Amino acid sequence: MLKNELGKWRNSGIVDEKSAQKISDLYHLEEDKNIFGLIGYIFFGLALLVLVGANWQDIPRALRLVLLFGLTSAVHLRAIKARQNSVKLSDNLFFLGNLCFLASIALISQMYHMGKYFGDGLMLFCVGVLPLVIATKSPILTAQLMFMGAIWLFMEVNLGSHLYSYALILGLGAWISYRKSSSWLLFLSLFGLLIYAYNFLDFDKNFTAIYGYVAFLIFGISYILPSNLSHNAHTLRVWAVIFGALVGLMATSFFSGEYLKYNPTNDIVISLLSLPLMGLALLKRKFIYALFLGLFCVLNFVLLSNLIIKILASFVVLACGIWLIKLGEKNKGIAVLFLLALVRYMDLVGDYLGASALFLIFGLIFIYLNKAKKSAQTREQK
Amino acid sequence: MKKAVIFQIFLLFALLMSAFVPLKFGEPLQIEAKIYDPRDLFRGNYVNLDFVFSNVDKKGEFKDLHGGDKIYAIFENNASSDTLKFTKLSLKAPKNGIYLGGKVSECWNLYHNGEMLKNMRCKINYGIEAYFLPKDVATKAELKMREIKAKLNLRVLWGNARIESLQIGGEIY
Repeated sequence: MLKNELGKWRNSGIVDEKSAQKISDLYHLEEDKNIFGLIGYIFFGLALLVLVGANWQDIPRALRLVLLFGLTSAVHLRAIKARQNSVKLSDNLFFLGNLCFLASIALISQMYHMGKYFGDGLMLFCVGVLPLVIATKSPILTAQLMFMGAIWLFMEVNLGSHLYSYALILGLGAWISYRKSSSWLLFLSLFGLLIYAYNFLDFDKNFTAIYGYVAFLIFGISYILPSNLSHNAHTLRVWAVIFGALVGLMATSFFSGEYLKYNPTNDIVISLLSLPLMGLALLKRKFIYALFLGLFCVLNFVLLSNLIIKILASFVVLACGIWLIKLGEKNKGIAVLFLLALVRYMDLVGDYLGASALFLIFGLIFIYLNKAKKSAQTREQK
Repeated sequence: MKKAVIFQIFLLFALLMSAFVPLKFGEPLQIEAKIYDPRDLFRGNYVNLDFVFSNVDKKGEFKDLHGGDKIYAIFENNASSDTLKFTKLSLKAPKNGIYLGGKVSECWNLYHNGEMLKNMRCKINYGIEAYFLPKDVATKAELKMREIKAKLNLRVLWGNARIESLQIGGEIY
């Protein structure tokens, strides 16, 4: 509503363009618009990377270098110029400029045959982007840095390194999420911190348990945020639920053979770590959260067949989608439900009876919820 | 912001110099190489190069090796051919002579007849394991490699190597 009203105020001269932009930034009203622009720039970046894959050997080396340096500089300079008029456009251009920087690193490495381990290239990318993130304090650029840094972290962890320098990137993410009141960046920082901490533990790679626990932990943290951060609670819960739903789907679908291994030691530790969360849930009288947490802990110990796990996970993800819609996050809720339908359809290809039964039950649930909603509305009107 | 952008461009320049300086000022070194042909999603086609000093068993002075450790391949003149002869691996860089500096990338268990052996083996990366070529050229080179031994022409400066060219028979790629 505020977005529509802001448009009217702008058109009738009640607020000028600068004030309108400030209000829009404060309430993240142009996030949707910005996402399309960002996706556009991501595709530009991908096009550049595909060009790398095609081996552009026919161009003389010197000219290739001029093109790389020139393109990276030109995009960044355009971003600096755009910053006076539109911070969002400038951020998108810096995002693209960073992708040009990454492509340049990859191409220079290719030209001079500088080895096949690209972890060092990612490290260079992080070092190059860090000052820009500090200068702009842009949540989008911070997320870009954290994402590429996470890939670098995974590559280094596979070599046996703990990558202590990644803590700097996490710290920066947390600081910018605080400075810019960016809830989704706070979620990313928390998530990154927990996965980074996990890297130091001598755990077996039990995908479902540890990532599922992270989702529950972030959800639980949303209940105890200090007052100056409490406005982030809604976003933390939404993204924790989305992440949990994705973990549930991935673990019971694409990775079910590998990640649903029974590992009592890890499961005991996860359950012990869940006790404070359970205590918090009961203290705050969040019984549904406590119920799901309890179910999660119990199911880690119970050996069920893959089919039953899939069915249970499907209903949990369904509940997540419905919860998101009820919370007002209609698009995210519908996206989760469509993803559930798509993944289960792919899982159950060949088993048409199973797929049909599952979707029939989903359909009945929604019809029932719709009827219940209409009855409630009718009672309210009376 | 301008300084941050200038810093990025400076880093690209530093990367270019780290590639260019050994090629310009390094000592020549020719070594034998084996190849096969995978594809790098981000950097196009390359021939994957393997050397006699690419692996080391975790025993003796190397028993405590793990990922990220530095290791050095030491060379000396070979009386019978024009290539330099690899003599040994060492945990310390030699004060004289030509050597390649590498880093342990991964270690794995060895098996014999289904049974796990005591020793592990580690792979070492020297930064010269990939030679980027267009797909058709890479395939042609790989086919030739099955019949003729390949030699890799390097330039080495303070243990840092850069590939000048790949030589298969009389043909230089």
